[in-house]
Amino acid sequence: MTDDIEQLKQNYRRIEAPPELRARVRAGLAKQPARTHRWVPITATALAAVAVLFVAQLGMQQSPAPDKLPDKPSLTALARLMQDKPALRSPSMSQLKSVKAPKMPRKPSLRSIEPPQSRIEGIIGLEEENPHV
Amino acid sequence: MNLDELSDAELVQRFKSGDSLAFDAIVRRFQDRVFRLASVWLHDSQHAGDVSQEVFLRAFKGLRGFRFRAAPFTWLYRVTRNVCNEFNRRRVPEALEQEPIDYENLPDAQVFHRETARQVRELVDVLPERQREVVLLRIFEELSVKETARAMGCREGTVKALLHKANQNLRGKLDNSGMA
Repeated sequence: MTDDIEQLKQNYRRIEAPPELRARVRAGLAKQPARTHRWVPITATALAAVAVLFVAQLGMQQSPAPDKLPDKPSLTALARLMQDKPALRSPSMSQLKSVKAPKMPRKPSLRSIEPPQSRIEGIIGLEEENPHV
Repeated sequence: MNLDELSDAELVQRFKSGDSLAFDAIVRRFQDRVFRLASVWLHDSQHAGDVSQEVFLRAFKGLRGFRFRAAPFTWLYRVTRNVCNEFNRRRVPEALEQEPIDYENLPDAQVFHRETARQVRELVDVLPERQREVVLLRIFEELSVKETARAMGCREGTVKALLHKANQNLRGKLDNSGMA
């Protein structure tokens, strides 16, 4: 290393931080809001508890799995069920014919409808092509 | 046990364990190096104090999660570099930088600091950034090749190669033994 570089290096290594730097750092730290990380495990625990409760609630809402499958209804019971219900009779043709449908409105003639004015300017022929728009 | 007798890693470990005095010891141990580096990296060395303060404020938060993958000073160096770069980007290099520093009204220590920083900056400014970095760390801060490589995030061979190129660019002013 040349002498001038060596000398420069020695001068460089003699540079010291100002004495008030530590006080400035302490003052800067004092200004910062106190931050603790205690909220992390507390929040994690709370979230885990909420998740467990939610899953448990979902499980309770669903129908519990039966320990034992319900007994299949017997054929006799099914037959009785059918007897209890009155059979529905399908309507007769005369009943259907007697129901009057409302009259259809009269079909409007083309001449009575005024073609709507096109909102889009510059489109030529739109009204002529599709007057019912 | 005196905190000043602990190694860098032990000191940081103490701080992580909640010893607030350990952080004061960390500042005491590294403040000169951080301040020197900031003086040279900044366009205007008069802000080295502000930058150093910011570095240690960030260190207070960042060292809590320090995983010891690198040496503490390596980590501090990178923080210093980042803060200096941010500071330089924010501040336009002013015309003041071209004007000679008015030393008359400054205390001797400040005169010495600013003039030395100016001379070092003048020397290394001719170099590309990576070569500048390796010269500052290896030659001026006297870090080992391994420590320099860690600080720069490169391999030891790269450090040697960069130093060789820097030597050429500085026209052989650096000691060749620094490349070994």
